[in-house]
Amino acid sequence: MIAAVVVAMLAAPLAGAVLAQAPPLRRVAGPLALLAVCVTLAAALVLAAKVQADGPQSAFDSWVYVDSLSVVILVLIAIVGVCATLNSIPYINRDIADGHLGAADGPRYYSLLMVFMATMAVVPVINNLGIMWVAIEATTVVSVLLVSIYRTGQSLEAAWKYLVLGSVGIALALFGTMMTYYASAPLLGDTSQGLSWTELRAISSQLDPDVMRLAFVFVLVGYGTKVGLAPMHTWLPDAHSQAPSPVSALLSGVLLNCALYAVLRFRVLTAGSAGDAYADDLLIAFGLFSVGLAVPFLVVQHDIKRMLAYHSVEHMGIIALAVGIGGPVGLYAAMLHLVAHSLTKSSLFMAAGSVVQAFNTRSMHRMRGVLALAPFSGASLILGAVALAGLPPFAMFTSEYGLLSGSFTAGHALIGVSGLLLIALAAASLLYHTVQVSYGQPRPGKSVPRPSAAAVLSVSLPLLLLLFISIAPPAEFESALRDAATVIEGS
Amino acid sequence: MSDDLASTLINDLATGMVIVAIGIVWSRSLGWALLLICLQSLLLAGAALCAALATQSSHIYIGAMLTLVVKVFAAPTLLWLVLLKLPTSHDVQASIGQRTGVILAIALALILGQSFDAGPFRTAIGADRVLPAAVTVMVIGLMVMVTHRQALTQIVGFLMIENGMALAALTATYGMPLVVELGIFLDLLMAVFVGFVYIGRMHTIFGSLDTESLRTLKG
Repeated sequence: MIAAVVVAMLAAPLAGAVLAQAPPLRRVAGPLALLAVCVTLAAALVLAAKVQADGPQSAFDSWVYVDSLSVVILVLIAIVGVCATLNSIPYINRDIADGHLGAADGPRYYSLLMVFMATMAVVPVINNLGIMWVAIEATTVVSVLLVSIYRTGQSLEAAWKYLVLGSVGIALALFGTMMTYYASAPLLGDTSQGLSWTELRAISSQLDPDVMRLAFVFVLVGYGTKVGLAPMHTWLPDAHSQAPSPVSALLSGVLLNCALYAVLRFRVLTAGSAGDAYADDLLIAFGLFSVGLAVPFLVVQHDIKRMLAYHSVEHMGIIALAVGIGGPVGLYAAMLHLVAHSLTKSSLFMAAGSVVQAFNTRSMHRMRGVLALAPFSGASLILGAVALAGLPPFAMFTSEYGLLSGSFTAGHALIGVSGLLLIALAAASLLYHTVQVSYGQPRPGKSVPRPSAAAVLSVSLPLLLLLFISIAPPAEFESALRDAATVIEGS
Repeated sequence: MSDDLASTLINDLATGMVIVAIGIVWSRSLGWALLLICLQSLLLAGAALCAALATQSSHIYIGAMLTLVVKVFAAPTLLWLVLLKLPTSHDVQASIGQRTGVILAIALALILGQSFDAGPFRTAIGADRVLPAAVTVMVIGLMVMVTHRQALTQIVGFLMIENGMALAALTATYGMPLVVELGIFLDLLMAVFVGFVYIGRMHTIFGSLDTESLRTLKG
């Protein structure tokens, strides 16, 4: 049964990608894609329920392995995928109407979007670390094409940087994967099981610690490039700001998680072989540096999408920091923060996208009075910013509090406090920019068309979900996060 | 083929790959750079073939064949097409001089060759010069990517990194498992193809392949 669900989950978007290119269906490529991702979401939820009830599941001779950590990442991919596809329909139609995209670009966009969804969905369910690498590299190649869909000089620049830095970075991760295989070869033999995560975890205490330490450095720097950890983050603000906004939502909301997921899997193996401290110290260093580096760029930023992109660098840094601090509290905080960031950031990117379309600029200096002109977009920007700034009652308040308290328990008080100070600076600048954009005097005579139902639904759905898990988190959600934290902690 | 002969040959081929890498740094025209990356991939395929003959394991044979198809023929052919189609300057446009580049590359090769003997790795084949050679090829590839502004040469640098990686995988563990290897080749081909498409687009938009034009997004 698990096998069938996984196949349905991956086949639906791939089928959608092919069908969107069929001439009679080109006109309905958007709704078709939406249908496909809804199937993916349903399948992901079935997997989640199964894992919740019966523990980790495997299928296809253990090539597929789904545990709580996989499920959290997977369900997020599916939810944000549905919202982004729904949001794409009015967004892409508008771009075609405005002449930013050609009529033929519509079906092409949806096909690429669906392949992108499928490659992302492979990452959390595949047990083999080699195939996981292949899937993550595939996400780069496909999403690069989505970033460059506008064919302008700037989007080409962003896509080229993303392709080159992404490919080189991830080549380093391949080197790390290869070393892990090398470490396992004397124990598991020269078979494809040598890269199976479950097999490796079972023997992790016997893996050569020197090789595993070196492997983790390569994996962290390699996948860290895709996570957007500083100083390897330089492609991220370009790519996330140049992509169509629904794609930005996916890139920022869930693709970063996929790469982080790979780092977490390797963390378990490295911790099993060489002890917790080595991997965790590296994660703390990269995490803290990312948060610190993002702050000055956030304060002086005037491009709304670049600002959101730098917040992704910051928040991925926070998650890495929380994982590094570790312990049950730190890891739970990391997972909660990851979920909250995905929901908030995807909603914010889509809300910002409709504002950008309405004002025909990304510069925040030229966006004033959004709340008066476009009440829905303005309100969701404010709500999203409050959530992203970590103010109560939103979940990021809880997770950042968890980060602080975890850091005290783990004896990293100084790191926790300095991290929190940086986070507070970033939050303050976010709120400042949002207030500037939302209130203020709109230009006289400026009017903005009412948002479509699809846009309203896609922007508000993640925010409503966030509100739900922040105020009244269901017991299943909390236990899923706790289980995921246990997976990261290892045995 | 006996193990001793195989490891001697692989050692020599790996050294050849390093020399070719230095040659790529030295070359001033794109045509030469492409020819040399072809040659380097050919040496890699030869090394894989030696390993396959010594171990008689089928997945290494397939790996050697894929190297030949993807890295010796398909990827360089795509880049040749760009070169033939575009009336662009065939100069490699490096930001450091020819002599400085070559001296730097040789220095890197000597330093890395000396410093990598003892590491935590014992190669499966017993070809002990190979891992340092692989790392040297990777580092020189990275150097080419950093110091060259020409989009095509950046892809050549990327292919060098890939070659170094494949050489390391070959000696450390007889390559990766077959499915993984297939996926890696597929990804590589797709990445080079996307690069190929972008180079065409870059030429349409900017009229050159100089990545200096790609410096507008900042802050």
